[in-house]
Amino acid sequence: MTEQLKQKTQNVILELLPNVERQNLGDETDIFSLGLDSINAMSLIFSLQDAFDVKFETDEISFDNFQTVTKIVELIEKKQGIKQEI
Amino acid sequence: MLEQNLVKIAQKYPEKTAIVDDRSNITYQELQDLVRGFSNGLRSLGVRRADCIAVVLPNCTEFVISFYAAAKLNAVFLPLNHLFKEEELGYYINDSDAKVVITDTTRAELCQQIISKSERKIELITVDAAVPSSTYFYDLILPEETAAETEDEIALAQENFLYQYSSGSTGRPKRVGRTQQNLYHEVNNFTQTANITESDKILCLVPMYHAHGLGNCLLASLHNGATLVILEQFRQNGTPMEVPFIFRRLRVLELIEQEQITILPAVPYIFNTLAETPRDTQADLTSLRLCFSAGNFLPQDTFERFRARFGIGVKQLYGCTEAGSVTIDLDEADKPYGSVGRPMQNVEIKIISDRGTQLPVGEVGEIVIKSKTLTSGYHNMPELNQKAFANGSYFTGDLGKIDQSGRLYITGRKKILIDTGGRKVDPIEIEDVLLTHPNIKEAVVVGVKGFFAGEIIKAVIVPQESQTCEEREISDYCKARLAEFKVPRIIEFRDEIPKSPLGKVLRKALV
Repeated sequence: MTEQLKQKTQNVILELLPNVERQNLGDETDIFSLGLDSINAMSLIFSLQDAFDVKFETDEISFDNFQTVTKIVELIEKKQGIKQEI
Repeated sequence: MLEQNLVKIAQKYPEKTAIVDDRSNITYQELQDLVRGFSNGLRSLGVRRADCIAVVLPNCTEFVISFYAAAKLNAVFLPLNHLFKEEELGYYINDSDAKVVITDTTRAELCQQIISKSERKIELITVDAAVPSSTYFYDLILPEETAAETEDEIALAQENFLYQYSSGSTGRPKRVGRTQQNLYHEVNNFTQTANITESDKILCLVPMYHAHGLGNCLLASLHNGATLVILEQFRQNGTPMEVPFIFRRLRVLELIEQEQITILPAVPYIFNTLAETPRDTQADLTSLRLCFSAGNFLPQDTFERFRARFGIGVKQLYGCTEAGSVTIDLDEADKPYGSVGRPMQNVEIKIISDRGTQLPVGEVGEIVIKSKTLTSGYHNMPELNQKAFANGSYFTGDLGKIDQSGRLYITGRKKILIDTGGRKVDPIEIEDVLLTHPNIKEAVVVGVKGFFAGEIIKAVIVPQESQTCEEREISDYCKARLAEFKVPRIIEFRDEIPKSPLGKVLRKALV
């Protein structure tokens, strides 16, 4: 997991959760337990797509793939890898 | 009355699927047997006519069985939001004098805490497994029928059967009692208006503890021999979890196709999320004959995007806890956007001026409903009842107008509710909790437009003089007392709350 990718992901999440401080958002923290609700979840997906210039497939938009910073970064790395191959 | 209708349906379509959920599908005959068995079980616990049965469950088959078993016993059914915290659940369970609480293992401990603090004897029933100090739901499916009390059925149908709570402008929510007869009329009106038949399959995505899910999913399907398809709870490693709807979208599209759903009742947020389905995702929604939105006004943008994505125009339904479903828009495409349609069969709507006179077409006034589906009033609120329920009509407090074709348009709501992800939250309830914090002098809660859709709850707080408040402390304080979806996501501290010269809070200045 690259540090840059991780920090950018954290920035996107923290922008949606203004009450959460950076030190409380660990790599494995369940971001939904921090208060990411239905409205924010939708925004998270759009914000990540914009920030990383990727497009998530419908079957990739699962709870498991977006539950933690680690999982999100893994998904983005996979997407970016596929993009580079193309 | 409602259970007797289920018996008739089961006689007519014994082998037809009544309920589909991921654990098991059950036929009408099986449903009727389970309802009879569980009503015997409840009776064995001492539940009698007019006793209150609280149900704290997400949508599931056992919710439906409990509903009809309560109807069979002429007991009172109190469906509660399963996301409520101890303080909220405790209030409703005690206010309604519940004798039984039906829940699942996820919430059993919470319910036990509430019961242990109550001075009354309350039985706890768990639907998914046995836990200490509770009775397992399926151990209460008793075969032998004890002699039923002989009562005057018509009189019983006029007693309160359903308790729901409607948010109030001040203080605690108002208890709304509705009878089996009210619900019977409501489902018949809806059936006649929307032509519901036994060949329909209704997908239930909205909570059945709410009037929308109860009336337009549970009753609309099972009263007519149709099939009720329940979106099961999300499970992670076997544990049920609440997750944002976006993560259920694929499953919903799958269910519509697999089960050949014909009717989809939902809320604007759900239609909005479905409309965002990427173009390259295959989704066959051709089985749908009616999609309708209730709970809040459907934005034109959502309507247009859903139609562009799936070729289906979402209709609007207007209703309230006090009367159930009131109007529905069933017109085809060529009509002005924004109407909530015409009154359901057997429902009368008038627009009334401040002076109490009926207003002509096109003029805005208060929406007044006359229907056999109406509650008789709020529990223990005689002054309010006098104002809201005069002459057999319900004065909604909502503002609207009717056009020449009889279509209703809502132009203003009496309650300031925040719509957060399809759930409506009363800001007053959150303010009441905030004001119990010793360091808070004033608090106002508003909804601010979210990044994507819907609103985010924001609390503006004036601390007590010489006291300091931390965001996290306030957030934790709310989390301990309010369901997660009600906790403010934005907390702002100010020296004072902006007010008009007359002292009215200027909420718009806080958004």
